[in-house]
Amino acid sequence: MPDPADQNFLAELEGFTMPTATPLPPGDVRRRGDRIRRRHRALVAAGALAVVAVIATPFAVLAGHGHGSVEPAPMPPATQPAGGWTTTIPAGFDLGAGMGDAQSPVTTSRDAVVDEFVCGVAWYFEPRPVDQLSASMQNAGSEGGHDRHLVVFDDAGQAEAAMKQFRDAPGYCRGTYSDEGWKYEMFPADSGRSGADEASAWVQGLHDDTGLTGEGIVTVAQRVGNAVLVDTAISMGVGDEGVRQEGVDNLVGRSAPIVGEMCTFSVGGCAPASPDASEAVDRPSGLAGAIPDDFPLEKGLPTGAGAMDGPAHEIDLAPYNLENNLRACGVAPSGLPEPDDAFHAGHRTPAEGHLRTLMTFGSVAEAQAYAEGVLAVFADCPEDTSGQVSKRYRVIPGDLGDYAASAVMHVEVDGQPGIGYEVVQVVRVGQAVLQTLVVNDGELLDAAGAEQLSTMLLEKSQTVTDAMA
Amino acid sequence: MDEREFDDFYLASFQRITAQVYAMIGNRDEAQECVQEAFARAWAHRRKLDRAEHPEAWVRTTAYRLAVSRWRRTVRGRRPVDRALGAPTEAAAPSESHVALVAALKRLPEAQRQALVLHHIADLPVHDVAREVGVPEGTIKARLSRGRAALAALLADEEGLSHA
Repeated sequence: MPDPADQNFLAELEGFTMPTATPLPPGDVRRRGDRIRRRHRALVAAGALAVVAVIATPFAVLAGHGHGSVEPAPMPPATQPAGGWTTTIPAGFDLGAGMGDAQSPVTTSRDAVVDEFVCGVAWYFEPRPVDQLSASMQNAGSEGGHDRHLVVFDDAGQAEAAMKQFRDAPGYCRGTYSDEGWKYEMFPADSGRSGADEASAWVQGLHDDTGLTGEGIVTVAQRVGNAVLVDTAISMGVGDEGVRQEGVDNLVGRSAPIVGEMCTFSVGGCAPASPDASEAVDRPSGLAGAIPDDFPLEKGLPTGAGAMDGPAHEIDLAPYNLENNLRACGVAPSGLPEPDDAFHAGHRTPAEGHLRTLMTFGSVAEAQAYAEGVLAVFADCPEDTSGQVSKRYRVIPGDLGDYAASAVMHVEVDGQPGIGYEVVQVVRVGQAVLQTLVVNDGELLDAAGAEQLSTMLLEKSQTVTDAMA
Repeated sequence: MDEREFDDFYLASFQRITAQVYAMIGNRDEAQECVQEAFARAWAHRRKLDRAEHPEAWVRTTAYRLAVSRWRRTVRGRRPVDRALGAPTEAAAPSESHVALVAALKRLPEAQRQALVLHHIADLPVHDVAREVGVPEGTIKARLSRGRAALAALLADEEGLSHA
């Protein structure tokens, strides 16, 4: 005969209910499901994954910021802005800047769910953000895409806590892990040249039976004040550490304009951040006005066989084809400030040309506008394809003078490295800008070589920029 | 499964599945989060769900697997129960006997607890429990028998303690 007590607990067990809970609206659940589906499909869409690896880096807000690190140093406690933290994302905030084009439109939403995946399950910011804006771009004709979330917290302390969760997350699944039949490998990554207060990055690589497939997901989180920006995009070649880093760097670069706009959430607001910066804008320094005829602009140019032009105020610029070489995706720089003076020096061989142009402007602001503006066309054109030939552009920040950056182009033919490259480099010192153009028609340059080349060119410009100071 | 069918399925079964997962893992918020996540995956794999004989079982199993993953348990212990951008949990306080039952279930071995929940709370016949768990029916019967005995003992102990 059954024990009555036994019967009681079984009845209670069979009548077990849970106090009514409030689920997410079904539409939110479906949206999250759509993103899961897109991401999984993206990982197996062959030939559609070069989204991240070839995006040029907008650089305007990158100057003066060094590389991040896998284990960032603890941040000092954030101070309170004079007017309190901004906890609402301003209307019209262009979160989708740099994400899409006519073929790949960006959709934005204020109620999307932040669901970046770590170790196969959703990971969320804690504590709860008080405002958010999301943008999503899917490449036309492919499954590759780019998602971006801006989340705002009550204060910087909460945003720092969210960043800590982000940084710590890869530690919970060292090595390979499985999720719904997919195998992934988690790689912490250097957060790159972020201009944010702090940044962190992961790369999740997809495995098959033979190991890493090379396809994966790059995720970067960047904090400015009480706001955190999370970018996620599909990448390829993630089995290689250098390529993973390039994917992270490119994603950081693509988000640079947004990080710049996030100054509204910073302690200092969007005014010039430091006394030095405001001083530099107001007070001219270094080379200005007329450039002396004996300025050593040729120092550091190639000296071997070939033709030397200048240095002089007037040289024949036709061989350097500026009209074409400062253009990308059919767009030439426009609205650039006119220099007060310009001085040129160049060196040419049949296969390669180097042209330096030193310009002085009426103010530091004008000089900076020129430096940023002349590279903007490259930042806006990660790829310029004609038939089987693609020109791939990257913009790389540099470390020289008050501001330095390079746009580097290399050629691919049917996806394989092709012959030829081009570099447009700017260095601002005070209200003067040194612009260097290198055009090569005979050598190969890959993405890693591009960065080395831009660094080498900066080193060769050191003597000139010293003279500009 | 189109949007309307999915929404109907979600709204009709969310509460039920969440209660079952809650009984399995003993954490209401965690259960709710995992079930929502499982439904998101169900939508992501809706073709697979269309072919599934028991969509509810698919969601429940996915939610349970999410809940018991080592990573999730670890992370969960490191952060508050509330989560970003989801609707806040609004629930009345559970009764004393409900709390005791959940506490006792949590002390059972995982396999016994799962069998009890699926058979007695989800109201699945032994055959379906066996299929969902992926073990022979005899194993489920044994787990149910041992689980019932253990649960009865635990609840008796609890009652004895509360009367002491």
